[in-house]
Amino acid sequence: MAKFRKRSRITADMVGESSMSDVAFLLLIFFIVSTSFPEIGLPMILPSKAGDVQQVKRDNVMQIVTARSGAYFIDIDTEPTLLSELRGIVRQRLMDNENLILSLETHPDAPYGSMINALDEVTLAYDELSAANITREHRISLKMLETE
Amino acid sequence: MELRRKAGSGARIPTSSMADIAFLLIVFFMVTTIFKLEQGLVITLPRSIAGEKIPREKIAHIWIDRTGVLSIDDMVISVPDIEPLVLAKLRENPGVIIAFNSDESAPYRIVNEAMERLKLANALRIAFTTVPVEK
Repeated sequence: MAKFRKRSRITADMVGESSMSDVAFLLLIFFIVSTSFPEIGLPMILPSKAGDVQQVKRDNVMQIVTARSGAYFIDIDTEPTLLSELRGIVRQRLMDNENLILSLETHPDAPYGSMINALDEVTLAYDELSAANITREHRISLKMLETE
Repeated sequence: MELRRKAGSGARIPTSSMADIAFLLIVFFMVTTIFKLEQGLVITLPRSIAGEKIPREKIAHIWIDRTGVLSIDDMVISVPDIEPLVLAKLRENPGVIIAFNSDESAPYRIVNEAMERLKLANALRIAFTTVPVEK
C-alpha cells in the first residue's frame, strides 16, 4: 500500500498544475472564437419567375388578407378575424382539405410585422397538424394586394 | 560536483511572470480590436413563435427600416440595385439564403418589391428574420 501511494503522488506531481490556467484560457478563447449564435427566422422558398403559372381551384385557396390597418380578413369576409383565432381556423381548413393553398395577401401599406404574425400563425397551424401526425405539404403563397 | 551545481543554478528562466505577459497581450489586443459593425439599419424585428434556426454561414442580409430604406452590406441602396448585388452573392455561394431583417412597421410594399427583385435574380431561398418568442 505504501508503495502505491508513493507512486500516485509522483504522477500527480508530473501533471503541471501551473499550466492548468493556460489550458483553461486556451479553451475559453477557442470557444469564444468559434461560437456563433444562430439566427432565428421563418424560411420561405419563392416561386421562380420563369416558373409557369399554375391554375388552381378556387376551393383549394384560402385567402388571408392583411388590411392596411393590420387587421386580418379570411376570404371575402367583411368581419375581421383576430390573430389569436387565425391558427385554429387555418388548422381546421387544412384538416378538411389536403390540397389547401394558403394565400397571404397583404395591402401595400400594411405593416410588414402584421404579415409576419399571420405567417407565424399559419406555420404554427402546420406544426400542430404534423404533431398530430397529419402531414400537409406547406403551400403558402405571399402576395401583395393590388390597389388602384 | 561543484561545477554541475553552478551550471544548474545559472540557467533559470522565471516562468511565473509568463501569465502576466499573456494577459498583457490579451488586454492589448482587446483594446486595439475594432469590431466591424454589421448592424445595417436601426430596426425592430417582428416576433415569431414558429421561427427556425437559419444556418449563419448561408445568410446574406437585406435590411429594411421602418421608412422603407433598403441596405445590403452596409450600403444604402435603391430597389433596382438589389438584383446585381444578390447575383454577386449567388455566384459566391449558390445556396445563399437572403434574410430579411426588416422593421415590423415597414410597409409591406417595399418588402414585396425586394422579393420581386430576388425572383428576377433567381435567389429563391429567403427567410424573414424574427425575434423568437416562447410558446
